[in-house]
Amino acid sequence: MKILLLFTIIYSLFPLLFYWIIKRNLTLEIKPILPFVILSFVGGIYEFVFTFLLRINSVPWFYTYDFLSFFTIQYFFYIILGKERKQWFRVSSLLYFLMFVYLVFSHTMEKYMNNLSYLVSFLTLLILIYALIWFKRVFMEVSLQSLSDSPTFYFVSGFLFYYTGVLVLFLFADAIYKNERPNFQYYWLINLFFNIFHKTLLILGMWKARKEIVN
Amino acid sequence: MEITQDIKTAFILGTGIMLFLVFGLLFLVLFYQNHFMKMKRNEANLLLQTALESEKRERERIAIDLHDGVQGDLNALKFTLAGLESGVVDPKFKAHVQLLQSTLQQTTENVRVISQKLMPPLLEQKGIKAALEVYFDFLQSHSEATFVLKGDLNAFELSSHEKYALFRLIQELIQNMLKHGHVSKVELVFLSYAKELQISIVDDGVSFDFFSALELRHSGGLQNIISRLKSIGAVMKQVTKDGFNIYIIQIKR
Repeated sequence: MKILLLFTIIYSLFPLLFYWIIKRNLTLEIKPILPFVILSFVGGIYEFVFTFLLRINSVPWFYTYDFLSFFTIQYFFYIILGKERKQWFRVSSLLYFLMFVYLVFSHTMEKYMNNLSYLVSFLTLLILIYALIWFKRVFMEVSLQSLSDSPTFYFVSGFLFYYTGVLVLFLFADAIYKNERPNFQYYWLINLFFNIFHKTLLILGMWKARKEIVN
Repeated sequence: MEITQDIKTAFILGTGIMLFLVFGLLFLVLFYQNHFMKMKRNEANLLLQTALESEKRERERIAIDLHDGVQGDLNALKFTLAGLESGVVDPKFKAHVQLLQSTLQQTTENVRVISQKLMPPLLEQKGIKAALEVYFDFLQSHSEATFVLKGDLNAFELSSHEKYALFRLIQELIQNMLKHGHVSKVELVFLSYAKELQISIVDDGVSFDFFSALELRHSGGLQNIISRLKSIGAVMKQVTKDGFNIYIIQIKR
């Protein structure tokens, strides 16, 4: 379990490292996802040093990570949806911010798992809506590019898989923790699995964003 | 114990349903987009074919107009001048008439060449090989390069549209070879099989990467070649070997 956790943390550094290696050959389609990739990298470093090695309390970091990831994901969808629906983005950001402030100020260790589940649920709902809008846009555009060749498709699928995959875990986390504490880590494996899968889709998307080099 | 089991069941079921929905959504999106793309591609191909067909018809019309109209008028002028020349006694005036006659002869010839270039008459009547033979003879007499035509189409039948598209794209390729490749020899070989026709064109000119040039320069001529290939469902690949540029065009049945 510890090795898998370490692997997941280290693996979250890979997307940005991969970006650094191939950045000269990347198209502009990579830009919207870059803040999230940087956040994953910073998160990986922080968790490795402060959580894994120094064993510092990770609760403040998880709140910070959730807050930052929300806004990097909002930015990603804001750009890929053509900077339209500004009002929608403003309102959802404001709602999230208010909810976040309320949850942080009312934080107790008892409520911690539930608080995280509220934040994740809200974000998952937004991701589902944004993804559906993006799919609709793809069909409206007169583009002959296959979705399987589109880097953005991999990024959107990555978010969809990760957040829908772990949503139930977060919703049940409090109940699992209270009733099945010894087995909690096994339930948590699903988060690690989807984390690895998500990062793999990020790397795959970057690979697809390479400029075509003509022979 | 019962609560634990309930949580486990709800957790597995919930995660399973969520993932099933996402898989389903992505599958539907990919499937529908694929179908949608095929439709759009067919639409684009149809538009391309219509455009090429209109171009062909327009060329045909201009070629006929030039042949039957302008060339006919020029011939009439030629006869009139011939009649006029026989009646002229003044040597100075006679020289003027002769000059006019030779200019007219040259103009008639030019009009004939333009008309043939616009729509090679042999293409419809005797097929692509015969039209290319005439075209190669013309090039041979107007350039220093050697042109060789080998092989046969045998039983492989080409439609009128295919013949025309192939002729035009071969013409475009050879024009490029002469203009930019400084070729001294071009060899075109037809290889026909039951379900495939292969046309290979080999030149000894400057090394040229067709597909890189197409990508970098967005040249109209090269783009036309690709459009014509697409319109007849043919594919072209290029090989550079021992200093030769080899283009292989394949049409399958």
